[in-house]
Amino acid sequence: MDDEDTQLMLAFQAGDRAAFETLFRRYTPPLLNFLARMVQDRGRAEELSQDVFIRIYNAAERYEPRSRFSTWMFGIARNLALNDLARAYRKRERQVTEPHELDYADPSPDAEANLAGRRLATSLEHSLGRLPERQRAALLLRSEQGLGYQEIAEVLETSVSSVKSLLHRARETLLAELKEEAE
Amino acid sequence: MSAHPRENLVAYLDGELDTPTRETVSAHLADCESCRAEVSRQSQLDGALAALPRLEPSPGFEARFWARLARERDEATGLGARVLAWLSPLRMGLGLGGAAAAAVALALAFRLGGPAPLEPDPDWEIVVDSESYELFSENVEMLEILEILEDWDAASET
Repeated sequence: MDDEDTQLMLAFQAGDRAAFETLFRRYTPPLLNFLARMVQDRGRAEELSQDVFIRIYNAAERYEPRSRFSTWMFGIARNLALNDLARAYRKRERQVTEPHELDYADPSPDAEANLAGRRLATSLEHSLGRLPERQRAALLLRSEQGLGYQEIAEVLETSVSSVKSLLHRARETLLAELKEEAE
Repeated sequence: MSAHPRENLVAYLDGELDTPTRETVSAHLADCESCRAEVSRQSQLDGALAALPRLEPSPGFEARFWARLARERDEATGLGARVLAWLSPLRMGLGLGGAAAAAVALALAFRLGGPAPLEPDPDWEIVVDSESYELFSENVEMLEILEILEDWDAASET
């Protein structure tokens, strides 16, 4: 494994704390976005993001690069997210079919011009939140994080053909729901 | 016209097909308007997903992370140090080595859910690390010593 992130993790293992800080700052935004859309709760997503980095920090001594750093990191995140969703389901804290509003800052000053776009984004967020967790995870890793199918398969601990199937079903569901809302 | 390769259309769009399959899908698309329309829909969905707003961490996120990490590590080492200090007279009596004593301390910390606070013994080095935990895992019979410790503790109170 010779990708830059793996080298940074190895540098941290050797005692370079700044290397960990680089990884932390680089991956906090994508990790937060992935977790927020997985658990549909921004506050919880921030806690889980910190959980991921604490695990990475504490695992430094035993770290052996068997995959890309991002694959390893998203694998930890996916496990924590699924555990959190299972826990919440048992406690009935959150209804995953009615996701919380994720609080975004509107970067554009022209809110009216973006109204249709924001409606679509809201519909898409709600539809994403209703997807089965594995389909949601596969789609987020592909569309939001840009991971390839092989890497997604490693994160989800499944096969590439299964990833293809998950993505196909996820997109079909989203398209059907968006079409229904538009009618 | 061949059967519609619906499931492969997404992989085609994602550039994830092997060469022969990609060529087959390309040839199909050249002749199939409905599949071309499907690719177009999938592409628009891709665009909408890519355009979803991005969350930024809340203010102070990084500072809270470092504070939390420091707190959790302090709690872990503090607990181990207290248990090691509590063990020290017994350790000398039983002739336990440092790692073995740390393994027992770790076992105690987990099993008893945290001992009562004690003054730490500055002469003892804090050894609650992966080596100790591995030693604990390999020598589960050490747990028998817990019974001795509990009996000793109860006897010292009478």
